Amino acid sequence: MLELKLDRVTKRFGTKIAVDAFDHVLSEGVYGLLGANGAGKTTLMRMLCSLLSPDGGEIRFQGERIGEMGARYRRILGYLPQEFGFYPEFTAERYLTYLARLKAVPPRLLPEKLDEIWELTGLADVRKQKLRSFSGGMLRRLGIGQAVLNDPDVLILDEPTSGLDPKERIRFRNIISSLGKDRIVLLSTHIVQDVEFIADEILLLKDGRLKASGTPAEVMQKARGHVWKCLVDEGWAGRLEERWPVSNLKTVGDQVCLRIVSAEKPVPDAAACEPNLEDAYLFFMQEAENGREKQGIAQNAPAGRRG
Amino acid sequence: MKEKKLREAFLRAGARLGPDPAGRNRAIAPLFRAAREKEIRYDPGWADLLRAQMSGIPAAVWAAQFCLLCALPLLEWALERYTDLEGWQVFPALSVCMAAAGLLTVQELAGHFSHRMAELEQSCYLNLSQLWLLRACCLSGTDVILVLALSGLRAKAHGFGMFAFAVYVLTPFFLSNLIFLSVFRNGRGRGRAWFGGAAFTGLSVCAQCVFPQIYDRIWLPVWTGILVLAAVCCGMQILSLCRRMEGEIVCWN
Repeated sequence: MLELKLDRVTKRFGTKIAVDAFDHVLSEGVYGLLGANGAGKTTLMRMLCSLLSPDGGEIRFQGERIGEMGARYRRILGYLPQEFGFYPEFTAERYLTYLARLKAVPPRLLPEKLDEIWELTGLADVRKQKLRSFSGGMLRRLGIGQAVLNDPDVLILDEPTSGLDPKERIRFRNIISSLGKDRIVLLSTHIVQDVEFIADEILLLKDGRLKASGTPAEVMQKARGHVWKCLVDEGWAGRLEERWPVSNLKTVGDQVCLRIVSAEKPVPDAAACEPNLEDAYLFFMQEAENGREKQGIAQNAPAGRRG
Repeated sequence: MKEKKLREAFLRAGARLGPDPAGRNRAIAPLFRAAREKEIRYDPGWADLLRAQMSGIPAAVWAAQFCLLCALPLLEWALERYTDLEGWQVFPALSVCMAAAGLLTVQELAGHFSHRMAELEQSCYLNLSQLWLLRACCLSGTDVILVLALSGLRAKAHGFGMFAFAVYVLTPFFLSNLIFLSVFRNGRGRGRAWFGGAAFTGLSVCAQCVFPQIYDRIWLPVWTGILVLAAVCCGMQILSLCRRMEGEIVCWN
């Protein structure tokens, strides 16, 4: 049983608190770290990779501080940074061989390991090509290939699907899903659908704080009763959008069908509906907004049709 | 009835046979052996690490390094053969070559950052600071060995002695390394700082042409002192950068 424990982990950059007293215990499975840009996801991941040291709290793997484990921790770590770097002159094969050496993969096992990676990433045909000729999707696949090269117990993937087309994203999700069976996989993204189907647990991060966590079903459950659907005219749609988070907007004839996340009924004719993960995400993000004015519009709203 | 008898016979046989630890160990041994062979983690030795680093340095860098160092004896020979320059006058030209070799080394080390590989490499078993040290040793070590070889071959021709020849050529090499490492550390991303570093290095070479008396025997201890100081500062600069890498430097990306 693997255990990666974050105990009140805090990181500051000057006066800004990037990660604020983050508490959680990760075990085998896929974890989706969701948050807006600047929420502290990358900082948290860098601390988990021991690239940054926490200013407060500690991170323990199997009960041992990762900072003290040093190379022993890095040995069981796989990391795909948000900005995945590469040497453009290297071929894919040379790149993986180079990183395999840095990751202390035994040379006698390397050919077998590389075959596994080619199969996993589907890059066998281009392994002799220089990386400068690779597309964004191919590079991302190579990135995940290098991350699992040392068969890591802890796999950290920072926004692995950014910049990928839908087909590549689906392929990527399937790869990640297959990797989460016997290791800790932490995947950060601001694309909700990326984690909806593959994450065993979702962690919602806002301003460096963990706002909510649980299985996708649990997170969605918490937003139940806070998602509404209504049909209003265009003028009102704009006003409602300003007031509440709108997870979907669709024009139907001369009216607009809105999906609104709100603790209260936004318009009298709004109908409650089942939340999806995007709604839940908006719900928790909205909940975190302090001092936001939430009331006043319902009374003045026109009678709309149910959508 | 028959079933009951069979069951009793089976239990009797089982009780008689009992566990056989030796047999169990014999049966399991090949499985353990196979598992050990499949073990993906191992501890690389120094030779493995060096080999890995040498192979990680691009061929173009080795080629450029080799060309520069080949240019040294050729230049030195050509100047002596086809010009009326005095012995000391070849040193500024050699200094330029050595400063360029130093720049090449620093540029290769900085490549981890310019290709955005630093963050990824820092997360590996052999992390960026160890990798940096190894690479700096590989590249600078090669330069120093070749310069010493050249000194051994050509020193007598100039009447300086091998030690003095090596000092005169290695000093600009370590000084340029030091200047560019300092600029890399403090002026990363600032074109002016790099330009300033290059200009300063160039000027320091010109100074040797303007004041040829600095090659007098009397100044050799000063040269030696500067060389030792520059080499020590280079080492300290690299170690200090390595320590910063353990902190936040890799997140410059």
